[in-house]
Formats: sequence, C-alpha cells, structure tokens
Amino acid sequence: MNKAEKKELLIDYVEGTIGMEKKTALERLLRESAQTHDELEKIQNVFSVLSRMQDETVPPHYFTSFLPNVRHTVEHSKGKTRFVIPSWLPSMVRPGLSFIVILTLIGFYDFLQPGNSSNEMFEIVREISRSNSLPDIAQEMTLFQNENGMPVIDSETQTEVLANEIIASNAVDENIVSDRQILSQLDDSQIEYILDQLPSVQ
Amino acid sequence: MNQADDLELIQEFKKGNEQAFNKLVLRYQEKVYWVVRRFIPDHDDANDVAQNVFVKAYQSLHSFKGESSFYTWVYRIAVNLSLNEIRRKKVRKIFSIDDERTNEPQSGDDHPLEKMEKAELKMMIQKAVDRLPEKQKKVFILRYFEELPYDDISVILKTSVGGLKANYFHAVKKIGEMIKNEQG
Repeated sequence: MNKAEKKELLIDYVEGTIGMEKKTALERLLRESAQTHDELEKIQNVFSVLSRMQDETVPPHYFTSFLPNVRHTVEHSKGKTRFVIPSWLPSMVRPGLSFIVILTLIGFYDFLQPGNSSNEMFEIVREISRSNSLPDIAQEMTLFQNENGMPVIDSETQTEVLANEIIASNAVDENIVSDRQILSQLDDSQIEYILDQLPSVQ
Repeated sequence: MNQADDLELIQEFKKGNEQAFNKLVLRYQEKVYWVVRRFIPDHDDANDVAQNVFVKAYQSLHSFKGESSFYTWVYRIAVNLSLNEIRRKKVRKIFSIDDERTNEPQSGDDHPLEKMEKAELKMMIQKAVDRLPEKQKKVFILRYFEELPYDDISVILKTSVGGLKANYFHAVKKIGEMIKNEQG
C-alpha cells in the first residue's frame, strides 16, 4: 500500500465509507504500523473537535428576503450599460504595445535630430520661458551687465541666451528668481558658453 | 428536486420565463449561502457574495450548456467568488482599508462559560481553516461542512476523487496541528 492509498483509506475509514476488503487491509496495517495508527488517531481527534463546533446562525427571516434582494440587484444590473471587452481585443494587445513602443522610439529619435521639425519643441519651450519672468531675470543678471550696471546686450538676446541654456540644462523652473539661483542650475561649460556669447553681441 | 427539474427550469428561463430563475434561487439559496459562509465567516460579507453568486448565475445562465448539474455549476461560482472575496479582503487588510471585524459569539441556550468555550473553539477552527492552502480549504469546506459527495466535488473543482481525498487528509491533519499549536 503506497502513501496516497493509505491517506485515501484513512479518510474512508474515518468517514465510514470504506469497503470490507479495504477495511481489513487497513486494520492489519494499523496493527503493524504505529505511525499509521498515530495518524488515524490524530484525524479522529480533529473530527471530534470539529463536531463540538457550534453551528452558525443567520438573522431571522434572512432567507425570505434573499430572493427579493437578488432580483433587485439583477434588475439594477440590467439597467446599467455594461462595458464588454470585444473578443478580438486581447489578441491585439501585444502587437498594439509593440507598435506604440516603435512609435515612441521613432519619436525620440526624431526629437533628438538637430535641424528638423523637433526644433519646434525648443521654440515652444523658449516662448513659454519668455512669457514668464525670464526677461526680468535676464535683465537683472550681472553676467549681462558692464561694470556700471548697464546692459551689454539687448534684453531680447539676453532672454534668448538664458532660455537656451536653461532649456539645455533642463533647469526650467518657475521658482527660479535670481541669477544666482539660475547659475547654480548651470554647469561650468554652460556658463562658459554664456560668457562667450557676450563679446559677440556687444 | 433533481437534476432534470433544474434543467427544465433553465430551459424555461432561456425562453424568457423569469419565474423559473426565481425558483432556482429559492431552491439553492440556503445551500449557496452556507457554502459561502464557510469561506467567509462574516454574515454581511457572506450575504453580499451569496447574492452575487445568483446575479452571476443569472447573467451566465444563457450560456449554461448542461454538461454538469446546475448545483455543481452554481457551487463552482460560489467557491470562486468566495475565494475572490477572501483575496480582496487580504489586499484591503494589507493596505488597512478595512477595520478588523470579529465574529460575535452566537446566542444560544448554553451556559455562558460553555458558550464562550464554544465560541473560542469556533474561532480557532475558523482560523485554522482560513490558513489552509486554497485547494485544501475548498476540499475541506465542500466535504466537511457541505457534506458533498466526492464525485460532485470532483466536478466542481475539476480534480480526481483520489486527489480530493489526499487534499482532505492533509487539510484535516493541518487543522489538527494548528489547533494543537493554538492550545499550546
């Protein structure tokens, strides 16, 4: 008798559904094997504990209101327009996702190419920068002033230079309020670039 | 009530007779409620799930092919929805959305001390059943509490009778060990 058969027979034995022949075989095993005997005792103990368990109760008249409640929910659900997923949709998910990924990659490639239509994006960001406080900030920046505090380049160019650098450094932040704060967002090469711009527009 | 009666009612329902569905609900409401209640001890939660079982049955009955009996079919819905509810509650518990609800001891004619002992025992067994692996839990509830024949459980859970008995054996053994641990 293998383990699986033994488990099956023990359950049948406890439930009283075991056939005569199998019962004799199991009883022989129970006499010979202390381990099997122990297992049987444990199972019988559990059933004995379970039989002492108090029955659950339900509120009075619960089942008389059950059907009306079900009918109410059914009628309510009939009124709702249910969103049904078309059967062809799941099969389209993978190709659809692949298509989106490819489009995204093409879009990034296009965006990173200089001199094409993606530069329009830079223009839009630049416009947004201009419309905010950037011209005021640019005018106040000491980098664009001579020793007498006078602007060394016109305000439009100042804004242009500053906007370019801010865009390039990803430091567009509406909370930037001073040139010091802007400078802290730029690295040395970007500051160098701004300084290089100054003599050429002077 | 027999399988032929159920199939007749289902045919009637498919022809548009809503009363036929009502008869099926009245016939199986208690059985379904109790199988759900074994999985979900709280009456209110069990009530929601039990009603949902019949709502799902109503929505799917037109595609019922009669390959199994109505009651094994509806039991399968009950078991699946109960387990879904348990999983949902576990997730909600992890994110602390629900307050822990405890089962109030049931009223009865017992002596208060005996009543308390029985309530404790019930909670202990319920806890042990809750901790069983899903498959063993399903088999144990359907066999011990619902007293379904193995052949029917085999249809509901799509498992061989031998496999069911092995699962039942392990479930009973584990419950015994857990009760022993709880009692110290």
